[in-house]
Amino acid sequence: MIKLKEVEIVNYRSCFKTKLELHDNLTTLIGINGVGKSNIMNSLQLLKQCLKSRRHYRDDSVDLQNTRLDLRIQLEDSIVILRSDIYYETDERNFDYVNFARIQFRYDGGNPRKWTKIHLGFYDYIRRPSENNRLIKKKYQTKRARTSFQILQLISNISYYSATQFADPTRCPISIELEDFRLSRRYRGNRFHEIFIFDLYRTFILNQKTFELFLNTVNQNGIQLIDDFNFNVHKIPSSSYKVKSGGQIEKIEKHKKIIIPSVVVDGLTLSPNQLSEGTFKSLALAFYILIDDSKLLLIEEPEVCVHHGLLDSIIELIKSQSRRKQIIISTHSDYVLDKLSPENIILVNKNKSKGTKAKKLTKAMSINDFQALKEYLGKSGNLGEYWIESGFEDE
Amino acid sequence: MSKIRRIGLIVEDISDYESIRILIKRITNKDKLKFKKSIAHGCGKIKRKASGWAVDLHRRGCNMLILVHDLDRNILLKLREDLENELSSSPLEYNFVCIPIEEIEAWFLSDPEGIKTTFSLKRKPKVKGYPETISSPKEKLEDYVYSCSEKSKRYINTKHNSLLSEKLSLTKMKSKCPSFNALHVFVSAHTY
Repeated sequence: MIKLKEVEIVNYRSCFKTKLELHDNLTTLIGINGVGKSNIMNSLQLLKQCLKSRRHYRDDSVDLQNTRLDLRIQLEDSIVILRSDIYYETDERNFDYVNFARIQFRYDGGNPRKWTKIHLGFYDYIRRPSENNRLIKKKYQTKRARTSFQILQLISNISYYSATQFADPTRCPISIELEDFRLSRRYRGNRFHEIFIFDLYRTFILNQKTFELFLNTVNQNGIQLIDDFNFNVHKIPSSSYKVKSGGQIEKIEKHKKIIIPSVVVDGLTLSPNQLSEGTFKSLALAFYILIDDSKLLLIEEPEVCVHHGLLDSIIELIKSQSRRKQIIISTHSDYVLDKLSPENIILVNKNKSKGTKAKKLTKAMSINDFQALKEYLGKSGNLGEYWIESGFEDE
Repeated sequence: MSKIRRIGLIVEDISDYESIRILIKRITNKDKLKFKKSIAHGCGKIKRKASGWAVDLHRRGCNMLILVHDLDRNILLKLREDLENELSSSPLEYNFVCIPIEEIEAWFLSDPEGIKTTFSLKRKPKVKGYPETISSPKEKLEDYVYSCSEKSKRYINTKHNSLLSEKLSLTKMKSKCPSFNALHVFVSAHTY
């Protein structure tokens, strides 16, 4: 299984030069507001954005913001150092758009000056796995080509969930419109509620078994958020015209699909926008934890709007999925910390001159202090309680 | 021997509380038994607060106390001694320390047929050896449910432990898990 072992972020918002070591399964970032936990998460998302950028470096690229991400990745048969130089812009909603990226790697322990650029052809393979598949497989059978492919698999499968994305369920559409099994243009963009409904529908249609797993987890067989989730599909004829040479008019018949989602709660059939915020967020979170086929899942503050009884189950889900994919969460909740072990924790802090710094709890504490913490956990109390009452760092 | 009015449970988390409560009701065959709880949300706090909680549970009308602490990576004899020391000044009439080995989920692995029925699995989990010798029984149970449901169901201990406690065979748990048998013997020895 591919594992991200270490990340160094250079020049991304508060991360002037931030290095962090990740746990193989579950890593938890903790720290006060504004220290840069979200910046660490966002910088990792930049990597995925790189796959969408098809522009080449131009002289005016120097005017863009420039970040460098160095990753140490454990592949099936080797460890590689991935270097990505990313040029991007940030829009008024604080979303980053990558204009240009240069991604290269070298093998750990190999020649430190011998970098291999990841070939653009592989990006296409990741984007459209059904096309060019055989051709690319034939063309690139070297070890370096296989490594490029594995790296891109990791990058293209980075996913992100934040409770703020799913705030205010009234923004969730009561129907979505599909053209050729894609969301209509008016729904595209960063509108997470619509995308969530679309992702649910796509799973419902394309992967019944996976949808069943989701349903069994959130319905009365599982965490009891809802009873059922259904979709009604209506086909609407939609035609357009094309004028041919010679003046003939050709009518093009098309069909649009109107998808109407409905949720059954306590026997009542509701639209998703009628759910409470906590239920809606928990549904989305459970869906992306379970269904998402990502190799690296980033979750910000899973505790927001969730009752502690339900949070217990959400944390259990996260812990259990972290055996199958690498997960990084950030949290302000001592309750969440109570459910984790010190080895999973990374302390994030910031100072004016050095920016965001991140250290594993096991390394941030002296041997003596860590031993004291272990003894406290064995005999006296819980991790979250210790965090609140004693703190982990030297003053 | 006095009749048990109300049972106080000191446990690590709410799912343990639900499971033990249901199992005791089944052992005693008394559906209306009354319980009070103190939940530690982890094992460390149990040791620190057990004696205080015992006093509190006594004040809340309990005359039997059962403290449940997973063995996890501890040494059984040492853990039992520590916990019994904590309860040495307990004002309750009857006190018992229950240490599931390695955790309560091991008990559930005693009855694969029951697991299959509870989750409506496609096939029966093949549990090898004695449940209390299985390392990480919670993860094992999770894997069994996922694979035997052909990847359509996920075991979540917080929700499913109470269900399993209701459905699984007490006889099988008793015969295969000495730690459950000890609880069974203690609970059965009293009148309710």
